Amino acid sequence: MGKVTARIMGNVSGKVGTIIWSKWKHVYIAKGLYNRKARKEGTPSLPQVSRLSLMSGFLTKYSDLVSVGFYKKSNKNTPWALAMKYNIANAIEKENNGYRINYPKIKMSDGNLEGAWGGKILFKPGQITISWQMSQLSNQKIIGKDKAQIMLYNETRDRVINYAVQPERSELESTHSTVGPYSGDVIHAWIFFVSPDGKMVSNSDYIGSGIVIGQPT
Amino acid sequence: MSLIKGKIGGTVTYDTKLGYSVTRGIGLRTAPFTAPELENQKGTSLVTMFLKPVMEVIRIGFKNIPPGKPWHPYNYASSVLKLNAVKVNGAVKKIDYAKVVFSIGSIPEPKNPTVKLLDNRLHFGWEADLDTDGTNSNDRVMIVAYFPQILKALYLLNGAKRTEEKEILPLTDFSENTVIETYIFYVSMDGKTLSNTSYTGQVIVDINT
Repeated sequence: MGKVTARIMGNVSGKVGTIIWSKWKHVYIAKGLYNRKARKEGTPSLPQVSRLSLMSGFLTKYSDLVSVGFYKKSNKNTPWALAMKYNIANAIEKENNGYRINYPKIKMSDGNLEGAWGGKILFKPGQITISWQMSQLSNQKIIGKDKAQIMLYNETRDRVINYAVQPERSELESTHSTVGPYSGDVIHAWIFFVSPDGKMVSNSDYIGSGIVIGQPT
Repeated sequence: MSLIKGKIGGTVTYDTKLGYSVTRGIGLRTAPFTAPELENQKGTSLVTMFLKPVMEVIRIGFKNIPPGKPWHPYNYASSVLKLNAVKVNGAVKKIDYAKVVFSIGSIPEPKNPTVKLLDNRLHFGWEADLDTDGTNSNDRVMIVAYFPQILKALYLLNGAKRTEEKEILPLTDFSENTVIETYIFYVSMDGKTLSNTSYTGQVIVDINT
């Protein structure tokens, strides 16, 4: 692997002849062509390959939040690599024929900020309400301005529910309208907090799961 | 402080936070870790996870550590905890919460400390014990409630005076039965002297009652 300092070829990316040009952690690099895969197509995956693809398939949906939640200034590893390492080691369970994700153990962020206390998820017709608490012992004036990052995941349809709102920690709850034919679907929710300057994050907390109640017609 | 900083050949020189400089060889280990090394790493990882939510308490509780050694509150706390409170049960390592300490010092420990759970609040009690040497009526209590299942902690760094003999720690709501490990210790009025930590026991929040 070589670092490309003078980009005589411009912002080239991809395979050119026997060299692969790419960008890794804001550095342009060139590396040799990879070897051909030794394993034949169609052979069963190795256990670690199954775990890797299962977890990367899930975390890709939240890659933007993972890059905030696992960002470490002094760590040479990328946020994605840290998130994958933790979640593959802790949030995957063996099932009869393979592996499954243990959603309560998924971690979306890792940091020193105070986490969410008493997180709850409440389902009403056409609405999902996420609530949390602040400890009376915390400095509520300071941490009250932290932004909450809420993640909702529809397990039934393997789909992320877009949650663009970032309420302040002091608001203590946030409501999302469930638009669409999602009645009966299983939803999982996580939350973590980011300081107003964006430099600190809390550990993520699994708030819970439940079944969406459809809007009355 | 060293005049040299950085990499020279196979060595690297840098200043530590403790005021002295280090020159060490650069090496990359390629041999796999041995079984005792892996066991040791498990203990370290347990202690690191345990201490993360109580860093603020540790910085105060272990401020009076022995001078002249390369100690600072975190590595001293981590050392004490690993030596005394990591229990080996067969192949599993666990924290023995009764042996955890958050402070060391010369003030006598709280006498007959108690804790009760009432209305989602932890009610702590103790005896003022003003006749014992080393006690002062202005000492204040520090209280720690540790939640081992979720690896979080609630703490009161500046609690009631010794003579008040009671303090309340408000809790948040819980959605499942929760175990709380509780601790109490004294800190002097000027914040310079502390007592050793007293373990006040385990409290269980039962959401069905």
